[in-house]
Amino acid sequence: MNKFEEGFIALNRWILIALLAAMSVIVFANVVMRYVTDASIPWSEEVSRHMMIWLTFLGSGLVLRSGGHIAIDNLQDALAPRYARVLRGIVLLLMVAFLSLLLYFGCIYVSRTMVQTTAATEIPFGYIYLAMPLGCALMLVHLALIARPWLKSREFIADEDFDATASASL
Amino acid sequence: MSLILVISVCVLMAIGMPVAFALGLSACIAVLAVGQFSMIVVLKETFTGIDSFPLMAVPFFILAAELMSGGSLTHVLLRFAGQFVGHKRGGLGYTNIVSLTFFSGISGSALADAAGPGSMMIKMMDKAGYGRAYAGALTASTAIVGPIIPPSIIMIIYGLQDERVSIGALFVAGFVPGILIAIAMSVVNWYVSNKRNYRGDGCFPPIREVLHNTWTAIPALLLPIIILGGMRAGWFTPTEASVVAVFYALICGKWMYRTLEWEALPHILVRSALLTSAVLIIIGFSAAFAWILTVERVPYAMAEWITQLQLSPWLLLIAINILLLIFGIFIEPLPGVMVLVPILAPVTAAAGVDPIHFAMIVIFNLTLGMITPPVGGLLFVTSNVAKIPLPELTRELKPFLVAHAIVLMLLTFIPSLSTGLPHLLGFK
Amino acid sequence: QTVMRISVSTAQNSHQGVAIDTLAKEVEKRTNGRYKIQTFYGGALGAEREATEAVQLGTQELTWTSTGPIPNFVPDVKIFDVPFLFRDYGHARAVLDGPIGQDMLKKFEPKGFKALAWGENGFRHMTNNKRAVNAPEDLRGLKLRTMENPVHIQAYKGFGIIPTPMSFTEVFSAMQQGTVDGQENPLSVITANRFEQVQKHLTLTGHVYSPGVFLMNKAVFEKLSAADKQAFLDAAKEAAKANRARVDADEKVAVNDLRSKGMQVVDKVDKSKYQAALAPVFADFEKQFGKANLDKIKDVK
Ligand code: NA
Ligand code: NA
Repeated sequence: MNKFEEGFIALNRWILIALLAAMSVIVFANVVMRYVTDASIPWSEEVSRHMMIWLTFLGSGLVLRSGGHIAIDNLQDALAPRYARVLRGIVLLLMVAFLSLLLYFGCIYVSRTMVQTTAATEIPFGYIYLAMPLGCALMLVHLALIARPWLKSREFIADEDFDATASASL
Repeated sequence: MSLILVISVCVLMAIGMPVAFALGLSACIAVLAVGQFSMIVVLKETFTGIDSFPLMAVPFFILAAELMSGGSLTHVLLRFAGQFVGHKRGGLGYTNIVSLTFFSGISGSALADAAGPGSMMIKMMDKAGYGRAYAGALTASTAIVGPIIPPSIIMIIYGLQDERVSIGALFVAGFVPGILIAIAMSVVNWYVSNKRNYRGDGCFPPIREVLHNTWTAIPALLLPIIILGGMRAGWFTPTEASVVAVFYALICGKWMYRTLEWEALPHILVRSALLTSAVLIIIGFSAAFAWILTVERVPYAMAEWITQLQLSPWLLLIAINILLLIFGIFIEPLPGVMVLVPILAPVTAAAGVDPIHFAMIVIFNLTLGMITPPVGGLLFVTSNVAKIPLPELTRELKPFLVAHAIVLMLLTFIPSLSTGLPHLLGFK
Repeated sequence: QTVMRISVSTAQNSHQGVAIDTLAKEVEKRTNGRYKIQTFYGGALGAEREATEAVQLGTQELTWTSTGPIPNFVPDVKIFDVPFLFRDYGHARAVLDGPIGQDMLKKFEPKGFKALAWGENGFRHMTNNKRAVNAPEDLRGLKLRTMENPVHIQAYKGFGIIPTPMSFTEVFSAMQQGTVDGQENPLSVITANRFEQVQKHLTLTGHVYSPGVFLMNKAVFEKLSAADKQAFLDAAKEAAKANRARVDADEKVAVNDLRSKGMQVVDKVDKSKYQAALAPVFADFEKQFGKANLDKIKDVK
């Protein structure tokens, strides 16, 4: 792994860690507050919900990297390696096309929802939806980083915390 | 439009595109092909699918289980379970079943059961002379209780798909079927162990040891009780229960079992976050997929078609069981619930089937799909962590599948197994 | 023939279902079937905020929504959330159909909506499981589920209520298990969600009026011929009439219905006492919305 890749992965990971930790603390604090001080945090639901959206899209690239997205590989396994490689090439092209499409329309979506505000914190909704184009851009980068070994032999980059089978049967 | 949608998702999944992206891309293709809608609708519906407060129970229950299962908890549960059944013939098999059942009170998914205590038990059984493939088959079959006994990620998703049932009611409803499954697995273990003469470890442990093992196991065993009790007492909602579980697990791991190091916390958080992302991205894109079916009125049409068949409730349930079993062979529980429940639940409710009863049938049936080849997440994981070739594993699975089929029949024809406890405790 | 879609968040057999059914029928009639409007109920196309956003973006042509999510698109509408602003149904409908309401409909246009007409959800009332609320003092300390609406939250705090924002999907079980003591909604919503099963007390506080609005994507509306535009506007007026008639009919039956199902209903409500209790909050609202604007609404006969 080169310097860029290392830094990129580390940053991505720490953002996820911060988001999940913050979500947990906010929702838990709201429960505790309700009993201790009889008051609720009016923005706790909204903020944590929107953090979950960000977590989903910003995490998806790292999941992609370690092969954690459930896929049905039976056909590829049944084919000769040469043809399986062709099939993976098609999948890769389709993934790039799909993510680029989402990235493009995601930007339009964001710009068109800046006039709408969220209920509790009254920030522009576009900031919530920004998670998708940003997440798609991240996924494209992650895809580029693993494209070669994946095309060749469907290898992912093992992660000390997460591997391809981890999410297989959630 | 729906035809294009369904064909393209099948093709995309078959060539090995990840399920989440296959769902999203096929929605895009359908929108492009018809040209009637703006592409933005795919993005918008994807967000709508994820933008849900009750869905937050998914990351929190995942995190709670990860916090609990790091380190010694698995050992604690194994020792606790083993002391009661370990000395019998086939003792380690029973120990495996009992500890997986306890563990499912902490974890929300079958995989966590199989990969946590399951993989450890397979190693122990292998050393003690049980067939490795048998140990794997027993683990995979028993891990099915993971999403049946609360907490359960699949139940949360189900509760969101069918507003007739609450997540709390589903959680409670899972207890009896979960124990039933454990009993069925024990019967198979008894039968096979007798036939092959798998020995136990001889003697009942001294009473002091029993007390100590029980004492250390109590915090772990309390978690499901705290979750359900707190919900019932009105301290928190089902969603909030999941975050209470997170902090309970943190306290257990850090100050009771003292196996949780602060340095491990980022790793646990990132792992939970990635699992969450993998699940929610499917939920999101399948919401976009489902939107197209909805504007094309496909669920209405299908529901009408089934209704006009005029099946009696029992026949209807049998037909649905067959449909689900076929579905389960190819599809995992999560996408299965997302696709099928919005169509089937209204039909069966109209036919007079209790929604909780129906939910248990669907959840158990689709979870069963995880151990039916060729697409079975639990099979892959077990074969992977235990290094057992898939064909061997499948061979040893047969008696367990028969036992599961019997449990499925019981659950189908005796509604009170599912509905009795929640109704008794006043859940709706 | 052009097909359009309209959605509501409640069932077909409800005041909202009647609203869009009538609109669909009237549009078809007035355009000789050149426009067909498909109806979707029960939030099948998404909850109110999502549907409103869909109309704004044009992924869905029409929706009927309560004004719950509207202030996040058109902030001016927030003024209608001020408690005890409207005396009764006659007053509320006169304001909305008069110049104030019609001016407000125009404020939707810069945001990408054509607001066709006002409908309604009805006056919101409070239910709870703790005690009969006979006077504003009885509200003190009650934990009520509220919307994430800053104006509402501010007002309820003025009563000494502990406002607990919570997603609507969790309200029923939260009241059943006692996580919150109660909630506040129009009678139509209370009966449709069977809240009487988990709530003992209802007081007809009528503290906030909840309007509804027929929204259409502005670009789609602009593309219509002048005659068709008029057809849609007239159809929406008819639909609003049907919507309000259904609210009236529901209100008549609802209270007796809820009583027969075991709810204790306080229907003699001295609204002036509640208004007096909110005096300090009202001072704040006058600053926020302008005293003149509030008075203009109050002075409509
Ligand atoms: Na479980
Ligand atoms: Na399967």
